Amino acid sequence: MAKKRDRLEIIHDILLVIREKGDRIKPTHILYKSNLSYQMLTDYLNELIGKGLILTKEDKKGKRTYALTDKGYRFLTEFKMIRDFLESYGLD
Amino acid sequence: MAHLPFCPAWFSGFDIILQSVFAIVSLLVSLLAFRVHRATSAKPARMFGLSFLAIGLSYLIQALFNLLVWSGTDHSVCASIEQLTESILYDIGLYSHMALMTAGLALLAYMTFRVAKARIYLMLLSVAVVAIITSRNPLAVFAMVSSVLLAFIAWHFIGNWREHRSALTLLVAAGFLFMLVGEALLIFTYEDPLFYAVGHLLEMVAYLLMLANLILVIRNHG
Repeated sequence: MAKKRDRLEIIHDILLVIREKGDRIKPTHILYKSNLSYQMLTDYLNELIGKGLILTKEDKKGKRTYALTDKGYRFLTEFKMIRDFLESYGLD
Repeated sequence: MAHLPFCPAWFSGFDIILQSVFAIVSLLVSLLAFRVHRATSAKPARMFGLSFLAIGLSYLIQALFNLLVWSGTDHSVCASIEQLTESILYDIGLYSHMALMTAGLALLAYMTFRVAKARIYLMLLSVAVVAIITSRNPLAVFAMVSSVLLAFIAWHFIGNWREHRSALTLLVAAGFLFMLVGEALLIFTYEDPLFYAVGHLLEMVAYLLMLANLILVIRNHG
């Protein structure tokens, strides 16, 4: 049985999906790729916006898309260090 | 060179080097915690950074004032003024160290309870400060209070190691255990100055273990 992802890994996965889609991804695509329920994904996306890791944009048709901020890119680069540090001190 | 109270003659000067190492390692941990907070906005990382900042500054100030006392000249015009100045400098260093260290350890202990009530932190800090400043032997009471706080902190990190069994969590848990024993030995400094030296050496082991953890965390990142 696959190990349950922790919160930090879920955030990492969401940010990774957004980056892979070239910073213009619709919520339905994130939902499909992140393997989360709609409600959980909405909560995570709101949290990531609040923390300044992602931002919302509108495409040509006026539909909402998501993109990474500089802080989001930095999170992905430093993810392993962040995870190891938080785990070392039980801050996760 | 002046001789610091409670420090064995053979250890004089080494304690200042060790305190400087403790300061550097604590400030590095703090720096990394703030970097993690900047990337994640995680509140525990910021509080953790603040607690290690206080601990690092406490050692930095102690090392600085001890250095001033230790390197004081013996050929002043008036020896009694020289002694008085050294005593005041030593006390400023010691009390600043105790205040910042208590604030840092109380914050660390508060964090381990995982409750978001600032009043609990203020209560921990108040009890510790009142116990220290009203004591006839502030240094021994400070060592006792620090040991109690470190016991709770070490308990948390041992639990963390049991939950995530890895070299990283083991290094931190072992580091805090050494810190606890080292601090507990400082309680007996009045009985025998040897405890001052052994306490410092054990704390050195603690900080080296934490430095090893930091190196592993940063190396894995690279």
